Amino acid sequence: MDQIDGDKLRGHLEMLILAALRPGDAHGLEILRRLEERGCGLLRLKEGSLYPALYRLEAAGKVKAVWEKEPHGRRGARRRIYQLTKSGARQLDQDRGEFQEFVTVIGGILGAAI
Amino acid sequence: MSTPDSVDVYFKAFTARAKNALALANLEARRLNHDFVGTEHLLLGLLDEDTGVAARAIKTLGVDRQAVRAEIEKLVSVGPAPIGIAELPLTPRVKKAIELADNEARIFGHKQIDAEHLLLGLTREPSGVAAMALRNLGIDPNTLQREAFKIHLALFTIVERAVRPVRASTPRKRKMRQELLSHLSAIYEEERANQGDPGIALQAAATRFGDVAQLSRELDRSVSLKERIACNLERRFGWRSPETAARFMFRLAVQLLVIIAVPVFVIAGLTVICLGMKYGLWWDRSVSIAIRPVAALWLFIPTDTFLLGLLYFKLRDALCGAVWARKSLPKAALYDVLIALVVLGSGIGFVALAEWDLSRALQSLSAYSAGAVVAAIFYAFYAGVVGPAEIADTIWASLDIGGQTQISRSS
Repeated sequence: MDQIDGDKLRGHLEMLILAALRPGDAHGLEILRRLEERGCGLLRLKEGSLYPALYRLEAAGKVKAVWEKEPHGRRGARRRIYQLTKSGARQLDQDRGEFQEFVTVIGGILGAAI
Repeated sequence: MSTPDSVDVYFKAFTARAKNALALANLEARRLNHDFVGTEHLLLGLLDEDTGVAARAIKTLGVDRQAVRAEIEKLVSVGPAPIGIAELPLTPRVKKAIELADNEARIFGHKQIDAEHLLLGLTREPSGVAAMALRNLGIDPNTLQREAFKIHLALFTIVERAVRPVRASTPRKRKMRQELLSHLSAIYEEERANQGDPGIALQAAATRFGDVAQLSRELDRSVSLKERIACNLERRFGWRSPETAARFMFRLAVQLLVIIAVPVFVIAGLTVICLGMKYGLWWDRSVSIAIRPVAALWLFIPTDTFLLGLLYFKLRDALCGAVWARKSLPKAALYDVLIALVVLGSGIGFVALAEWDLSRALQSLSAYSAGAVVAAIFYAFYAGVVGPAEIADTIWASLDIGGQTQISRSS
């Protein structure tokens, strides 16, 4: 990954977004809601930061975005709906596997240090 | 769009608040025994409307709702008898005000006409009773506009602060702006539903959204190489705020003049050299025959760029309506005709200059005319389709966001 800033969450944000999109397509606000529901509310993410991550995923072909057909809300602001691509789904599975390995290894070391 | 008589047809284009305001306007008209809905009734309807955008804006300017009502009743007289018909027709002035409201909404990028836009439309229609009443009470239309759109402007400013420094192409930034604005507006509405007070809700939404300087840097990092290149090209050749259209096209024409000069002089030089080597002299009739078309191109490309470019902007603004230019189909038609004439003139002029023979050029008049018509149609079509987005981009770029953090050197 290309993260220059050392924020822990941000390093995994792209993986979390892919996971949030697995159940189905969603726009930005909805993605955040899903992440919150699944317990990421503990780490307060600045909502705007979601979008640079989405744009990077889009540039890498992991997600695809389409403008929604009907305007939403009384101001009629248009939103983009994001969906996981095949490449994105593969990436998610790979990331999941890697992360689980990571947790197992580090957890083993930490556990043994007690 | 041709404005119909009754209110029903607007329903799809109106938000719930705007529909309410119109319904209340209907009631106000009946109350005064009038058999039409005029600008004064619409103003009263907006003031009556629950969420009180209009009322609040006017109150902030130091005027009471009751004062407005009293002023209007001073200016109009009550009708003789109550009205029986179900749906009251709209006066031409109200229709005009609604058209102005529609224009404003589209410029802001909103898909529907809301109460604020209607208020704006009313103040922009200076001959209506509503505008008169507001003037008599000392309310300046521009101040009222700024007040009613305070929150909109604040949201726009936050988004623009994040997006403007990003080094990406304009279409990409347009997507970013729309998406971020949509998100920010949504969380503002959420906070508003919790808090009630717009100012506090705005603060809460801004905090949730995050630090704009940080967001700007992150957005900049998410941009691909292709976008970077497009951005650099735009910075060099594209419009730079706050240039006028004339200045922009002039600059572009000069840039083209300089750029084309290189191949022109190279070709001219080579021609002179080759012919010189062949015939022993450096100037021959055949040299001028070879050079003429190239010289003609060098003359016409920058000139046409300037003229057609300028006319395109005028056409676009007249066709779509902008903040700085009223929508005017007759003017748009005029500019389109001028575009056709310039294309026609250029075609004839180019051939005349290249062949050094005007009559030869005029022989193909019908072909050039056809070309001119096609060009005019193309320009009009393009302006209609792409124009609104371009105009919105210009408004965004001209927004005063005060003290922006720069990621890169240039504008």
